[in-house]
Amino acid sequence: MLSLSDIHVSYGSVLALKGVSVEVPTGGIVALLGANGAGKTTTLRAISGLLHPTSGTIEFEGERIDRMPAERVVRIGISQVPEGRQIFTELTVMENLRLGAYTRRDRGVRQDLERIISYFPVLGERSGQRAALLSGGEQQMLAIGRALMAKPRVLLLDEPSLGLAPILVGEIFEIIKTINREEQLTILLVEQDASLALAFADYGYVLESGTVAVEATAEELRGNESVRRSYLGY
Amino acid sequence: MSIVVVLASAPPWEDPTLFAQQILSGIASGSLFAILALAIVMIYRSTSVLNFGQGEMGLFGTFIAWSFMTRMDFWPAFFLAILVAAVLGAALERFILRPVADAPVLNSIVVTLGLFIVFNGLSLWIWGSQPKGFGPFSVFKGAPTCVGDVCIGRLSIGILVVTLVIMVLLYLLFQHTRLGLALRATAQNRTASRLVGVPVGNMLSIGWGLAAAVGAVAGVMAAQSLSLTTGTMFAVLLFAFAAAVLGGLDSPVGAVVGGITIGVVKNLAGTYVPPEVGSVDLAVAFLVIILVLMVRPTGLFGRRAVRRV
Amino acid sequence: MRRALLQPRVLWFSLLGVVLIVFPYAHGWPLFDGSINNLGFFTVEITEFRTFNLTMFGVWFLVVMSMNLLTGSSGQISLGHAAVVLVGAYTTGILFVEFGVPLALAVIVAGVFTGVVGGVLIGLPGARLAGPYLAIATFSLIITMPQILKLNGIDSLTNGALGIGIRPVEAPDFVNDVLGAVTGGAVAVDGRQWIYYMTIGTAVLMAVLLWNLTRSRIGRAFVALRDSEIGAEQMGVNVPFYKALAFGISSFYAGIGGGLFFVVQTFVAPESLRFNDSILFLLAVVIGGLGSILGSVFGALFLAFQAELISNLPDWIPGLSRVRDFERLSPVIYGSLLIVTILTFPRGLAGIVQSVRSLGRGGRNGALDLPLLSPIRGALRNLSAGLLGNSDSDGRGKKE
Repeated sequence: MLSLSDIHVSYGSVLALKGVSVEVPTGGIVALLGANGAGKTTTLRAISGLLHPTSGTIEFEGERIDRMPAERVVRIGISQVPEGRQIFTELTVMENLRLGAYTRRDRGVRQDLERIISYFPVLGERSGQRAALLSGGEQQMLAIGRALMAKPRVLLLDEPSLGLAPILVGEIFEIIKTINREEQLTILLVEQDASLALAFADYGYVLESGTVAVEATAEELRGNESVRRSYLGY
Repeated sequence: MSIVVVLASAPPWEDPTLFAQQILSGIASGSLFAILALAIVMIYRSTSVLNFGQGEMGLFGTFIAWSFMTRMDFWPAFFLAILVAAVLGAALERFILRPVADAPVLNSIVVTLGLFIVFNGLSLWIWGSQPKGFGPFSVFKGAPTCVGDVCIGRLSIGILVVTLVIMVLLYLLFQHTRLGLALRATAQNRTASRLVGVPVGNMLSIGWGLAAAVGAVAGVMAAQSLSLTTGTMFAVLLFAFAAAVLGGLDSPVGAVVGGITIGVVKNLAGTYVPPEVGSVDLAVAFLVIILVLMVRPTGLFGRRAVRRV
Repeated sequence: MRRALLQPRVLWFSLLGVVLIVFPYAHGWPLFDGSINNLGFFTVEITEFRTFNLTMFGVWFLVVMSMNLLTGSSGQISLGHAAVVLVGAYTTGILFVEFGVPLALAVIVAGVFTGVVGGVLIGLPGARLAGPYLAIATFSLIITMPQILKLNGIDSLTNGALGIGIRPVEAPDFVNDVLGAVTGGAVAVDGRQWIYYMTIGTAVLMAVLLWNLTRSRIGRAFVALRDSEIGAEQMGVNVPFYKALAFGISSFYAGIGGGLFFVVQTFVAPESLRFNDSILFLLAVVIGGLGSILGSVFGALFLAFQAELISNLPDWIPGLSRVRDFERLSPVIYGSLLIVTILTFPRGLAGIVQSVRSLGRGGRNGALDLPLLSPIRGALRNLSAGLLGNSDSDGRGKKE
């Protein structure tokens, strides 16, 4: 469904990605693992169009998207939940969700809003409040809800566990899993907490300084000696 | 060197009519500053650019309106000029401001200073230095309305009404439309806006276009009360800055409150400061700016400035 | 020591010095005799007016250095520098006319006074302000300045709207006595020439001081401020203090410039310098190049000759002579220049010279080394190395 082949990305003269190839199958959950600065977030930003690769191709359902600006990428069905959530703190929760559906003009918006509130009831309770007043976990839910409002077929999730209490993280991952199962939503997840990600994903890629070091099914990765030592810590 | 402290006019408690009159006309002239301040605040909020050219862009639009009026009535000329100003504003954002968007603050300030002298110079070159007779026109013309001995001119009422209309329209646009929501989102977080599909570049252009339109309205109203020359907007810009600083550069409500406050203070100073001291209207704006900034470096309604690393 | 004297840089400076010293006398000489010289693209008539022109260059050099110190080195913006220069001019005038202070002393006192006023009254409160707010505050200063200077309470000093005027300055007798004794009566200076030497001399001296300042601890603190206030704070730089200090030193330069402005023009009035001049100063700094002394030289040259350049433009560009009221377009040209420069050469003319210089370096190492060009290139390199010390220190800073 989504396939990256041999993409290179540079920030000025610094090469951040040196030939990364990733396949995300329809309905699957794929995890990108790796240390800080390995290029995980850069990969997501290249897909969502915030960055453009210097070489290599990104295809979504057979269409080249590596030259597309971010505001078009979301239109064709790829939504990103950015690192650090990046919600509109000065707008209300409801306004944030409505902005999520900015690209849509269909009648399903209201229905989707209700559906997302059913996943994250707290967003409904606090819909009139400024998003800045939400707790960290609620803000993460809002960021995910906002991305879902675009009715994406692929959801890019960047470090959803960052700065959250483990219990909340579990809750959020449960909901994502549910959405994945019920709606056939394809998910590409970037996560530093490898054990969490591998418990959740079907397939994983381990990035090391801008290249794919290992790729395998989540199960195999959990069993892989070096992955275990480097990223799982046992 | 001895300055005798004598008020130029009878103090308020002896002549309340004069006092009320001055407050009222202060509110009217203050709303003029408020309109231009609104334009400045709109741009500062959405693009973090302080537009020194705002007044002169408005002046240019007013001259355009004046040219149109040789061929048509006031109202069509007025709206046509506003449209031209809006298109011009959007084009300026696209071609001149966007390239310095990520540069240090200094660069964007230098560019808007460039706009200031370019538009002032263009107005001078095209329309000359002779004052142009400019209104009051249409509904803004007529006998003043009086309640007791306190009177207010038609133009003053007109400026007040125009200010109110602009505020209501902007409020409706920003709070109750999809475009307004996207504009607010863009002002707040450009990356997140792009990720939800808002065409950020277009929003910035629209923001500048809107502000330029509002600035042109300020110009047309200012020219009706002050006559139209290339110097008309100069002092208005200073007072609008004073208003915007008083209100906080990123607060539209602050801009309006600030504008009216400045208008009233300026009028009272003009009435009660004795002529022996000299004229002080500009100095009042200066004092307000300095005092406010000393107490609150980001204005009364402004949020704390985000420091760039 | 001997080798140092023979260095090309020293030679170039000496040559430049000699030219500057004899210049006021040049208008009696062939080529400089007041006839119109066609230099291909530029016609010059060297008359006594040129001496005045170059004297004003000295004044503007001080003003542009002042702006450059503030904006280029410490990263603060001032739209009110015309007002600061006015303070220097007025102080000099008042001291001389009202209190009978000797003119030279009056200029120095005016510089110090302006420096203190600028540092304490503008710099200290301004240190808390973010860029846009400082721009507004200084903008309001220059707009209000004429009204302040015309206030009736102080008109016994400022002479209200009429301003302060003096008779042109004569050269001191002892100077001509000494000159006459030494040269056997061959050389004498008149008042205009005397002012020229004093102004250029002061400007050069102040440039040397500035050069040393930018290399000192204070100069490095300024640059740290400009690059990142938070970073400077972490390095232990007292940010408000150094910002105010930068404003103070900058105002000192502007005050000296203003004092000399008054002496050269023999007159100052509340609107001698206005907001448009502030923008011209900024334009000069931006065109010349931020943060370098060579940039200030270019900027000052621009200020001294801009009016003439504009009026000469129609001679160079054929179509322009048909443009109606071309002279009135000058603000439009300046404004466009300001915008285009910032968009295309954020480092100004000095930046271009630096690039040329590095090109010269590349050429020396590379294959493209035309023997004919190398003396020119070398000269350019040495000249720019001499005037543009900044880049050397930049290089050093990076290695540290």
